[in-house]
Amino acid sequence: MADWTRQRTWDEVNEGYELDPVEIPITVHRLVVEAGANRDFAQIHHNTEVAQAQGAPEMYANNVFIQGWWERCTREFIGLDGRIRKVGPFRMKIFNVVGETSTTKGRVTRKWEDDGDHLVEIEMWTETPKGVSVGPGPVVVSLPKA
Amino acid sequence: MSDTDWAKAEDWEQAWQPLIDAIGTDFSPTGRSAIDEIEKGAIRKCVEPLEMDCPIFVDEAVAREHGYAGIPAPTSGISQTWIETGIWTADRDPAWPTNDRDATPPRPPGPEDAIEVPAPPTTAAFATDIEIEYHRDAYVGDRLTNSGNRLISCLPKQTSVGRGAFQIFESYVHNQDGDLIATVRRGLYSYVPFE
Repeated sequence: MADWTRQRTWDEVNEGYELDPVEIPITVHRLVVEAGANRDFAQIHHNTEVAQAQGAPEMYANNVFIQGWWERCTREFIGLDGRIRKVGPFRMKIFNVVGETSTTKGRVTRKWEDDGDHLVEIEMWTETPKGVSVGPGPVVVSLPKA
Repeated sequence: MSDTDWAKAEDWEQAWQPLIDAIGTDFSPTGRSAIDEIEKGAIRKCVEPLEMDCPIFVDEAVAREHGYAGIPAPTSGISQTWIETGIWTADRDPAWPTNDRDATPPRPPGPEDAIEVPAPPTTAAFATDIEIEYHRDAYVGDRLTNSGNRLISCLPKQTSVGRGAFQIFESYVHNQDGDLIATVRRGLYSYVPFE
């Protein structure tokens, strides 16, 4: 559980700051719940035979689910007063398949001010036991000034 | 001769030339509105498999206290969930007319002004890249419209799974007041799998 009473400020964040990782164990049930919620019913994401017929090793997480991992990891960092401004571009390199755990991580790469906004860029990526599966790619957020 | 025999040809990349020539074209300038307004329950269902416990998605008072105009929709749903046009409605053909195990419903009809994308037939595709700029928040009660399907790039490539092309399309999400919510650049690889 994230501590939502804690509000990080732009002033206290510096290059190299590492975000708390988010681990997502991927099960068939979770993929089905996710498909029903995010409305991506492509069978490659919940049907082993179809996924394998299309060259994947197993059914795998869809890109909206992955965006959700990145959003959760980002929101737990920016708190309730931060805002997500831009995500990506990020590339899905290898499949995040059922039966594995995917872990999303991030690191602050720069901070700057732009027309009164206090912005931070995070380099974010997702790993599976087979290596980096998504990214690294940038996420730009704004944080409140102290 | 099947529709996908182009993938067996020595010069298979040539099949993608018409699409390469169309870079810059917007194949769907008008767009379609989501079938539903953004609902509080739909947001709860979205955060559930993520186990994302951020209170702005469930508690309007907390959201307002932190500068939102209501309960915001998770940004991660802007490219799919909040612009979804439904699988079946009463004015459409049956979505599941057969009991074929792996049959899927036909795609919903596109906008009337949609232009056919001049790509060779493929039998498989997956998302490869995503880039989204968020211009303002979408909220419970908003009904979003997705417009635009502008081709940004097309790169034919043989990969470990088949022959096809990487493509990037740009689209735009607006709310019911015409405010631009997000600009979405979506990459996909559509291909003919190796036999």
